[in-house]
Amino acid sequence: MVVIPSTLMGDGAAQSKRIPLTQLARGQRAMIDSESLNTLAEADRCLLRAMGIHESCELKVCKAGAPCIIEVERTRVGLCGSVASKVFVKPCDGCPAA
Amino acid sequence: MAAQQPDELEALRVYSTERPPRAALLGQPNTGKTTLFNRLCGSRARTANIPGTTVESRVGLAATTHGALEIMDLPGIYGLSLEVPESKLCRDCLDGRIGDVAPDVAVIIADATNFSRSLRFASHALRRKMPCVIAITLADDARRKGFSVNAAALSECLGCPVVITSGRTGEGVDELADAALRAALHGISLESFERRLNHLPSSSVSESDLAKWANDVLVEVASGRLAAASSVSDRVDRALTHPVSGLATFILVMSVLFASIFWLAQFPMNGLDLIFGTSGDWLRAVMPAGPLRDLCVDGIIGGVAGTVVFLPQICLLFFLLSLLEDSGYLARAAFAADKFLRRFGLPGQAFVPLLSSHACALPGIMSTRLIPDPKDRLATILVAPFMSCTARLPVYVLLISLLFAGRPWLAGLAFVGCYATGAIAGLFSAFLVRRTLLKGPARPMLLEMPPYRRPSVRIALWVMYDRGVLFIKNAGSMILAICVVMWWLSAYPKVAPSPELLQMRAQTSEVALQANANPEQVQALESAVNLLESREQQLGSMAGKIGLIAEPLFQPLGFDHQLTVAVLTSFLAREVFVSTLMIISSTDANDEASLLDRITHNRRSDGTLLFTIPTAASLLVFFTLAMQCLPTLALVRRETQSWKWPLLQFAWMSGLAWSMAWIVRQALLTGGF
Ligand SMILES: Nc1nc2c(ncn2[C@@H]2O[C@H](COP(=O)(O)OP(=O)(O)OP(=O)(O)O)[C@@H](O)[C@H]2O)c(=O)[nH]1
Ligand SMILES: [Mg+2]
Repeated sequence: MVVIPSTLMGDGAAQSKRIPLTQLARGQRAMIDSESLNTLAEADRCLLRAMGIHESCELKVCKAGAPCIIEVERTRVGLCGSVASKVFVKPCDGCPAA
Repeated sequence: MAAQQPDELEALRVYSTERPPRAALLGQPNTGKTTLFNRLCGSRARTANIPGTTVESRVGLAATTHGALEIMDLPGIYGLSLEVPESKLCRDCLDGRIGDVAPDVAVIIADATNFSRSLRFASHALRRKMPCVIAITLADDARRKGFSVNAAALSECLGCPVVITSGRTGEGVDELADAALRAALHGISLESFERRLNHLPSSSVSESDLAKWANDVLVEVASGRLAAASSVSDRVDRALTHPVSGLATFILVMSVLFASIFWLAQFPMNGLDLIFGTSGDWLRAVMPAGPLRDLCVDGIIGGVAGTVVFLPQICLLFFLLSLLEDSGYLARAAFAADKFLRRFGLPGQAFVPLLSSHACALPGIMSTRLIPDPKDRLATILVAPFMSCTARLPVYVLLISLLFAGRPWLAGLAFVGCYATGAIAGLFSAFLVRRTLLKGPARPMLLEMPPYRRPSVRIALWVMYDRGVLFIKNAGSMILAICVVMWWLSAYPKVAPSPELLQMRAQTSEVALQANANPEQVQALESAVNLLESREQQLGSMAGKIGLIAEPLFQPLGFDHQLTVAVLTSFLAREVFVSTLMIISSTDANDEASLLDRITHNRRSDGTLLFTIPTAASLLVFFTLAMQCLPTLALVRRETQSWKWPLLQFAWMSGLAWSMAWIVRQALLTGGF
């Protein structure tokens, strides 16, 4: 058996508000809002994608605030404030609120 | 894949050229490429820049059962099509646009512990029309965590050979070399390439569909599961990014790093000093006096000593950095420092190079290899020599005790001021250069935090050795040449002893011959004679003549001819300055007063004090900011592959040092000092 990112959680998440990544609390899970990545510079978006942070993937916050560290699947990435504040996410249900 | 018959391979090899086929290791950062490379090539490897670039790669030879295979370790990249310099470099390398020849086979590295992401990377890399082999790395680590990959099934899925390896245990390494050689000799036909493409998702597929494809493949070929991340890693990371414990760890780790190159490196450095000193003395004793002896003892042995003296700091720094990088902490440290350094246009990874430069600019500049972006790297190299290094320390001690004698608090403050001045000037220069010469959008920090791993001492020792050899090979010859030339400039032409000196010498031997001669007095006289001799030699030598020409340049700072010569000879290395001061202030050497007193009361021939307060202060400021170090220039030339940057750096630092020294002097003069 293998881990498949729970993209199935989409239904519940779709109803929650979009907030910037920097406003999530540590340990909170969220889904990346697919449109918000388009506001990033092309190079940053491509790099994030190649690192495994792509549209509608689920992430977990390891260090909150700006800069922050997020975890997607088995990859942890540190993002500076200027990028993190442009990435919007929908917090998943059942996670502690910010 | 059906195994090739050996005779078929023999037949293929007949057509290959004499050079061994070349394989390029291509993969994402931190996936075990270099570890695998070291396993494949052992000691038959060398580190060198990729021709025409400042990016280094390792090239080595791997032995396989069917002959040698050349292996090239490329920098880690997140994607082949990204518009970042490292990716561009890998593309150019695969296409044969840089480097002497294009690789014959790509060994695509897939990290078993981050398998889905590796598969996505591989799906892009496999779209290039060249023979490919997939190497699954870190297999031991993944297996320990209960995850394994079926190589045959994956090979079926992707349409190319797959080998499961571990750089740690050596598993699958020989098999990989064989598979790569076989693929290289076999080449790739259009139809086999098309067959491969049929296995892959289309190039226009969206990222989430690609992720889905990767997960489908993963379900098919892998067994077991990997937790999202280990809870240990989670807990460690929580502590290390905590505002208090994180900062405390950062300070602790950096202090240990700094202390080891600042303090620990002293012992091997003193040892080297002793060895070269003794061998110089021995040579002086056995060789007949003359220019040849001077060249050997002072020029060559002195020059070699002046070069290898940097080795302990370089080796120690790289040993510790390798451990830190392997453990995964270095990325966290860069993350922590990024917010601060970014304001000055420098990346978080510049922290370690700048910190190390406080011990010595040479290891500091060499460690800028940690910075992935070339512009960031260049900016860091340019400002690193502003940091106050240990060679400036004796000069600070001397001048500060001169300026603030009897006022320890002020002296302490002045010390801190010197270090701060250097650091501020460096950060300010970085800010300027990033907005002028190295303009361009700053790359925002998107930094992967690799998993915490137990660092390998073996690799650290290897890195240490590799860096040491690289330094000697690259910069060593130039630094040696500079040392010899500087020695020659200050030792020639030979100056005939002045009547004053001859008289003093005669007096000394007279005193020594007296029956009731006081040995201490004789010794003092002898050293006075020697000092006077060196002073005459220095002023009459080429360096002295150059000093005469340069004197008007330094006059506004209050430096006379002697001081100008001292400043010029200090280019060889700043620590020479103090001994030069000792030489030029030799007039009153036969009294028992300390060097400090001698310098304080040193008068010019017209009776004015050599060191007034404004002069000492301007000298201090000049030394804090100036680039008085030719070995650094030589290294910057090597690292940037051009004379433009070191010369620019030299001009900027000297100009800034001169201006600030002038301002300080004028301010003190108008203040009535
Ligand atoms: N357990 C285990 N650890 C490994 C193995 N291969 C590499 N490592 C560790 O993984 C880390 C990264 O290894 P490197 O070989 O430096 O990775 P790289 O791909 O060269 O990294 P970059 O040059 O930064 O792209 C180090 O801490 C290694 O000790 C392996 O087969 N097993
Ligand atoms: Mg590497």
